[in-house]
Amino acid sequence: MAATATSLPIAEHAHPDPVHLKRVGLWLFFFSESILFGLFLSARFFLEGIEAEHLDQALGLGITIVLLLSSVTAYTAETAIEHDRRGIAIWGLIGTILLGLVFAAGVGVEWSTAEFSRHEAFGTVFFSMTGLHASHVVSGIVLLVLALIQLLRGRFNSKDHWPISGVVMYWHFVDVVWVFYYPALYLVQGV
Amino acid sequence: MSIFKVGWFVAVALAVLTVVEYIFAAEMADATARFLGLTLSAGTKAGLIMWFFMHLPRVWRGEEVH
Repeated sequence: MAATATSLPIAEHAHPDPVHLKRVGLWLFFFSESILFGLFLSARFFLEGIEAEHLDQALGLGITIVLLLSSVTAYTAETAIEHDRRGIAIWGLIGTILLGLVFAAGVGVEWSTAEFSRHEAFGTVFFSMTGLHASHVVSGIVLLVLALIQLLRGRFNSKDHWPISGVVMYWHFVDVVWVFYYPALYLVQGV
Repeated sequence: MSIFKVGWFVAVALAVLTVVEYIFAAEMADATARFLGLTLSAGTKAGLIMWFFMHLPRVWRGEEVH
C-alpha cells in the first residue's frame, strides 16, 4: 500500500493558498451568522406578519444609504491596497469608519424616538433585530480602526493585506444583513 | 481610476435599487406583491454586494490577489 501511495503524483493543490483558506473560513463564519440573523428575521414575520408600528422613514432611508455608501468606501480601501495605493486605502478606511459611526448614531436616534416600547411584539423584534445588527456594526468599526492603525504604521501592501480584506468582507456582510432588515422593518408594511 | 470602476458601477446600481424599492413600497397597494418585490430587490442588492464587493467567485476559483 505504501509503495502505491508514494507512486501517486502529488496533487497540485496539496498546499492550498493560506489566504484562500482564510477566505473560505470567513465565508463559513458568514454562513453561521446568516442563520442567526435569519432567525431574527423569521421571528419578525412570525410575531407580526407584515404589520409594523410607525417608524421614521426618512431616517431609515438615510441610514440605509449611509451604510451602502460605507460599503463603497470599504471596497475602495481594499482595492487601493491591492494596488499599493496606500493613501487612498487610508482615506477609504477613515470614510468607512465615519459612515459606520453615522449609521450607529442614526440607529440610536431611532431607538430614542421610537413611539413603541420593547414590551410590544413589534418593539421586541425591532429592538432585537436592530440591536443585534448594531452590535455587529460597532464590532466592525473597532476592527476597521485596528486595521487602520496597522495601515498607518506601514503594514500591508499589495502582497500582504489579508487583515484589511477580511475586515472589509465582514463590513460588507453587515451591509448585506441590513439590505434584508431595512425592507423587513421599514418598507414591507407600506410607506 | 479604472481600478475602482466596478465599485462605482455597483454603487450606482445599489442606489437605484434602493430608491426603486422605496417608491415601490410606497406605491404598491397589494401586500403580497409588495413583499415579493422587496424580497427580489433585497436579493439583487445582496447578490451585487457578495459578487463584486465580497469577491464570492474567488471562493471556488481559488484565485487571490497577492
